[in-house]
Amino acid sequence: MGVVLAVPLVLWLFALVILPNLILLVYAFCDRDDFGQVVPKFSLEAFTRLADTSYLKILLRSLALSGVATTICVLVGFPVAYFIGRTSAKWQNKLLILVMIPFWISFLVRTYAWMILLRSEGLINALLQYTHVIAKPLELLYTDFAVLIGIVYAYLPFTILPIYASVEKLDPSLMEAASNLGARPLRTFWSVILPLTRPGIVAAALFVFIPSVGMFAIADLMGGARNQLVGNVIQNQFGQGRNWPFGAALGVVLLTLFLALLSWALKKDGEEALHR
Amino acid sequence: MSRAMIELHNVSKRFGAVEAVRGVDLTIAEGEIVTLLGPSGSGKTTLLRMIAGFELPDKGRIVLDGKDVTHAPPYERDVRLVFQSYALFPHLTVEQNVEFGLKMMGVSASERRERVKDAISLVRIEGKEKARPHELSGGQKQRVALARALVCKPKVLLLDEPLSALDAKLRDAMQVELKKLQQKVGITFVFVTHDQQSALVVSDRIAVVNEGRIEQYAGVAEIYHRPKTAFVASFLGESNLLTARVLSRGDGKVRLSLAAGIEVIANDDGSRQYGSQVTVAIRPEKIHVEIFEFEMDGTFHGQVTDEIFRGPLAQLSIITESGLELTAVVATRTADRDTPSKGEQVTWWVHRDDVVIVG
Amino acid sequence: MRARFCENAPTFMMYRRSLFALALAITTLGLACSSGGSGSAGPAPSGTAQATQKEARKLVVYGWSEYIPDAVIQGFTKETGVTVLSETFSSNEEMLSKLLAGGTPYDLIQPSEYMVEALAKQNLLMELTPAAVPNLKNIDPNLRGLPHDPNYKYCAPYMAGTVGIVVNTEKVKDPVKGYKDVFQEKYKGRIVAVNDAREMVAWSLSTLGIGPNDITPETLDKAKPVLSEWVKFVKVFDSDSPKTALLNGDVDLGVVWSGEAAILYEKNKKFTFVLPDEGAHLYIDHLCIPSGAGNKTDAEKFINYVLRPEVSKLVSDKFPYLNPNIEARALLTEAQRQNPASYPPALMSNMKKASTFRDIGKISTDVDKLVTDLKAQN
Repeated sequence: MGVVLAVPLVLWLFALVILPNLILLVYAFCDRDDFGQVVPKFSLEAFTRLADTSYLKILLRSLALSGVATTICVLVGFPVAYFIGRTSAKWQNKLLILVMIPFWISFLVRTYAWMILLRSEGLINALLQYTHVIAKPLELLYTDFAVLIGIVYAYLPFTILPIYASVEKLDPSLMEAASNLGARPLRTFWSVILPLTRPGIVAAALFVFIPSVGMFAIADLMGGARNQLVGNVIQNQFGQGRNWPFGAALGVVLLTLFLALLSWALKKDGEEALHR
Repeated sequence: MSRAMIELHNVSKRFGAVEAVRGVDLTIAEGEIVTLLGPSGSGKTTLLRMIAGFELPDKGRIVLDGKDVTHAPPYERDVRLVFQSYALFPHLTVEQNVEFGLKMMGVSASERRERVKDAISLVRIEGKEKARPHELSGGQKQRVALARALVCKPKVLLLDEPLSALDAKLRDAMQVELKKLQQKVGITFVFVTHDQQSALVVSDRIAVVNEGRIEQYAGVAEIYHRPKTAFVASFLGESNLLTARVLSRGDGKVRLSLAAGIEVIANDDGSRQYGSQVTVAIRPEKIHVEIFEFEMDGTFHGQVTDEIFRGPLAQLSIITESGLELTAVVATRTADRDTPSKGEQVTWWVHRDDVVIVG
Repeated sequence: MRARFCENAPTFMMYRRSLFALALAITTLGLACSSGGSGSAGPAPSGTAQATQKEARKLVVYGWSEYIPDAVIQGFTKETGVTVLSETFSSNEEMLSKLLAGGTPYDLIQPSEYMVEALAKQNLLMELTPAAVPNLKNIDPNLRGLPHDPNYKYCAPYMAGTVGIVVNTEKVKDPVKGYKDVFQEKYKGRIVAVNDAREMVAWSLSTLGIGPNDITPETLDKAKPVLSEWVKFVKVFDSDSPKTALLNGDVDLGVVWSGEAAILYEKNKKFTFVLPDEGAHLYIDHLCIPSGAGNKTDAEKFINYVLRPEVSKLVSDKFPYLNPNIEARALLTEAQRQNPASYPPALMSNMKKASTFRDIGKISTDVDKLVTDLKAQN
């Protein structure tokens, strides 16, 4: 019976996870024709091109940007998630719905809304100029700063939810116990709350980091496509760049990176779980 | 009486519409084991949490070893709490759990090692130092929680229903062990429970809490034998609570009528007027029952309507001709010396010391 | 990737367009409402209901998003009884991948000139039957004999455009005549450019006197130092709606699609359009029948229908590109014909000299790599 019930899952995993990634892997080692279409002929061309320093630079830039965004998301998301997790059940549901509301609106509308806020003649600049805080409009839109805001904004709910889940499971008597044993609030946070919500924090960080590395729409719209991220490069290979194998190879690199990251996180988590 | 360790002065606490604690005064002496005994929702846990500092009283003062701690945060109070759920840190080993409080107190590493070792041997969980809480049985967790609190050598150890999660056998053993442990370490213990049996075994004194107030605060024997209120009489052990009329007073005695033809003597507490209604409590085991029918001053007849055999004891339901219903507990006898059984006529009487006016 | 547009919104993808209209509506507090709905007000004529009827003939059109007005499709269905099912793409390459992948048998596709050339080379297009598309005669003689399909054997031009310079004359006072005048240190952080590697390389080559199709490793090497400078000056790269940054005042000049420039000009005359003096190039979108088409007869009927002057005019009304149909142009209003972005005088008087993009095959990878590298160095 158990085996039968697992069939849909296995089919799903195979059709939508394993198969596409296998195709990606195969494409990465193929040659291409003038159209950029994949030709079933073994070639290492895509991978030799990876060695180019400019792609490494773009990759590192993407990782750094995502790293900063992830850090901000966790730093901002934790207090919010903690507050929601510790409030009464009645309020928890209301607050969680508030966190989810942005998902009801298309991602692009929200991104455009930010563009409206940030542009030279936008709301923020207008307000600051009106109140004489600044004389000339600040350059906010089409900067790395804007891209960072875009990523943080887009992925913040994804940080709040897993951290909330782990905070909510936290036994309040553990915090009382720490306090009773002489721990001041900050100490309680470091010695008890943080270690016990770590799985949620790690999950939250992965939820932001992994998708944001491959993200391209925000860099295009809010960054003015000036500074490319690895996601933009990949997207381009399947379009104008007409180099599917190279796009696939970049995809394989990211996939490998993420798998390594995930297995590290899972291993850590597994060790932790053993100690529970 | 020795020095006061904990003093509560007119402490009140309200949660929304619920008055959890109403003007409680309570003094606990150094080195005592005191139990706050009451049903759930009586306010005993709130009292404990106010002593620990997790709740702040709306009114009144809390003094700990002469120092007013009414508004001090929990981490500045020299009291340690053994939680009902034990609240052991799941991410730390037994050793690290026990060491936690010492670290917070800034005790040096070498001293910590010594004290942790001592505490672990005190509660007899050697060999489990490296285990994580989830690997321990309920009894072991209990011991770790005790060790974690005791290792800090606090002025007061608070125990919140520490035995409720244990099975009956283990609970009996732990009750005795706790008492011995307290005598060994000499720390003031405040024990919160709804289990009157544990309270009697463990405590020096018991404060019976009901509806946010302390109904009676006295030594275990006194509180058992001389309950002040009907609630105390019934919550702590079994009692026949009977309505009586005062017939006469004098010589430190009071004559009460329980029903037509049933008049008993009780010790006069000085407050009762002739003709007034009172409630008396008579413990079932204080009612003497004989199967022989005989007449004497102060003896009455009755019929056994029910009999429950409980091994060493049997519980009898007795009804008198005037309709008074009583529960009595008698020692069971061997076959040739019969225990009264259902339908039989019996003779019963009660000593005046055992008739307690409770209201 | 080239953007198609509706009256006041970008058209990268259909949803994006309507979202932008919404965003615009929010900012201008309803000022944009009246025009914002014009493109998407009517439901798309899916016609699936009719298609299920036995008699119904259907035509599957795979075109740029928001490029064929609903009025045209409805008119065709009304006249012929043929149900038009449409699917859209947002770049030639996207169209190509889907076409090659098979699946839907498209009857009509809408490739740009270099893609027509590539598809024809690979025998992926059917030849048109001249007798079935007599309205091809309406095409501007200046747009005949172009290298991608000199005699319109495989395709019929739909709309055309150029890439040119838009200048906000309120902010930029110095004369701007060519690419060289745009990409200058003094305009750093004030420039928008379409995010298109092939275009950018073509512009830089033209300043060196090299044709847009002369792309070899050597010419790319020459373009590199020029582009390397230019990339530093650009604030926004946007192919989908380059007009947005100009409209919002985030930038003051740029190199954009002529259609985008035409809208800017319609909105505010301060946005002037300049045909680069280094040499302009045309891009032309066509209607073609892919080799796997199942309904060639109706596909040709559709092409011929669209080439009617009064029908083609409907397209111009909605999308102010350069209409290759001379007879249709004659039906336009004076204002439409005078829009310097739609019909730049310099181009119109000398259209033969304007070049078009050719298929460059595999080297497109190097073009892409060059621009990616330069951006990465930024």
